[in-house]
Amino acid sequence: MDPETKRALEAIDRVCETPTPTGPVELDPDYLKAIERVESSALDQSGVDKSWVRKILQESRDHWRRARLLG
Amino acid sequence: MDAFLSLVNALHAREVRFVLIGVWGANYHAQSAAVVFTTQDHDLFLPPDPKNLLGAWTACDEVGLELSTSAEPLDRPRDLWLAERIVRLRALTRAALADELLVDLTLVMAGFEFETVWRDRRTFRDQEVEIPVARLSHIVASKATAGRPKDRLFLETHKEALRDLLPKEERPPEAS
Repeated sequence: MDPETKRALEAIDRVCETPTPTGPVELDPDYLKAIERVESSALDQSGVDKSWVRKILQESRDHWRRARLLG
Repeated sequence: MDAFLSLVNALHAREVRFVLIGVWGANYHAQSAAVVFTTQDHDLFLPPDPKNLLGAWTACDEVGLELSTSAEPLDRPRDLWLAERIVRLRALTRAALADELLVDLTLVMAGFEFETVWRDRRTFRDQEVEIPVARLSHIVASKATAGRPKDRLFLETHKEALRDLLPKEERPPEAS
């Protein structure tokens, strides 16, 4: 399993293993720092072409629509 | 053209003010495919302005979306009186096109007033259509304020995805 998928599955496991409280969540400084980094990037300014986002989601949907159960 | 982009064009033609929020909003801030999340819903945050909401409903009608509220078809006539009632209740209107598109017209974004989000929005381009999108920090802060299970799941996975954007020396240790 590739490291990104492994980390994502571990994150889901952590959430699933804990009770699901509702209410405000405190955001940790590393996360806030990463968000600040995204927002200050040239790729996150008005006018940037983000057409690729919709395209990859559409491709992903099409891929799963074509999936067939084997066996 | 994609059904959502057709809707955005119709909203712009009617000068409707709206900002894309939620997971789809966060997706437009992605800088690589690793930070894009699969979702069907497009959440549009609108000001508590009946005329604006009526314009949004008309735009939805024009592109063939079915409108509902609380799982019931939205009443007719869809006029200013009805829009005023919906605004007073801060109720959500859902616009759907079969299984192709689901759009929530919301008058509430946890922790934020519309004007703040509108002022700081980014306008991204998607196939030459201008999409007003809430700042990523606003989307994340709103999800943290709401704190529903689905928000917590998004925040946890989004945090992990963004972690890879930091230079290696700045990355926090991986959770064990």
